[in-house]
Amino acid sequence: MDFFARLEQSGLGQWVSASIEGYPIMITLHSVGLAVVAGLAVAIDLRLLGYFRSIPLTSLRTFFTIAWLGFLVNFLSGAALFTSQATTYVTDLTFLLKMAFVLVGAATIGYLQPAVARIGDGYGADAVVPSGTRTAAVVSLAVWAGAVVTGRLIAYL
Amino acid sequence: MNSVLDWMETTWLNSLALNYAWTWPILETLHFIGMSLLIGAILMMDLRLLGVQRVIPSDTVHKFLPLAFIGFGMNLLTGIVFVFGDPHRYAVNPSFQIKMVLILLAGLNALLYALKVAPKLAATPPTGDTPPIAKAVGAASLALWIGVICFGRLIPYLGLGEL
Repeated sequence: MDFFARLEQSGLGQWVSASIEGYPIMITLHSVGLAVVAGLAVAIDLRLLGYFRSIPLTSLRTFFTIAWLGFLVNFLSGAALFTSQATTYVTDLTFLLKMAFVLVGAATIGYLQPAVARIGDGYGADAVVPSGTRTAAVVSLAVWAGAVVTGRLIAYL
Repeated sequence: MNSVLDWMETTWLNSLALNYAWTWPILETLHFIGMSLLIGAILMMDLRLLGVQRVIPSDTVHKFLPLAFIGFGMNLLTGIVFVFGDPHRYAVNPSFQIKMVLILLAGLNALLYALKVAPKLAATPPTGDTPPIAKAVGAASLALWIGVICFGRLIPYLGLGEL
């Protein structure tokens, strides 16, 4: 039996796919994590692009940490959801596209976090954000929107 | 009540929701994007209210309110189409009912913020700690909105309702 079929037969896979509470619990956690990671990514990106200028850039550091927390919740709940229909998901183009968006999204957060720390305290609320950082913020906005859209459409396509 | 629900099924909003295969998925996707915008802004503001993010000047944290209102507005509009699309099932769905109560409480909590907390924040030092009422309102807001997400997502699972 191949790897993905074994995942579906695993205790976790069976719990998520066959029990009354497994799927609802995991999909609910996945929604909360989504709101945290995508919501904070958007707010951070907008700040870097020059909106909400009265919010100090240094305050974003804590929000990156919380965004990663949301990401972790979704990585774990997403892995659990994946096991329930692993053989279907691995060949589902919408799902694979979503994975690509999430991967790039995580990469942009990973890139922006140290970049924002480098901008430092000295600039204050009117700090000039380097163009490379602004570009990454635009990419981040686009891919997180893409991840939400494709994630939601997995159920329909 | 039933006559209102019956009337809702005769409206163009009901036709919009049911007559095109793509209406529901598109509006649901927008509902998730609106949710993200709202929660992102809520987190930014509530953590300052809790006194965690003191690096943000206490009198400017409300600058994120427009983002919250855009997200809430998107979800109010898309949500109205959902309810008009299937009024009888939503009306009796316990998860939907709880979600609506939580939104109402979150609204009252926001009113408390505007009337009692915002004036106090304006008077506290920019990077100072927040008064207890600000912490309480911030914590309640976070808890209520996370509850809204949970019960919103559980609508299909907690009692489908009778048609």
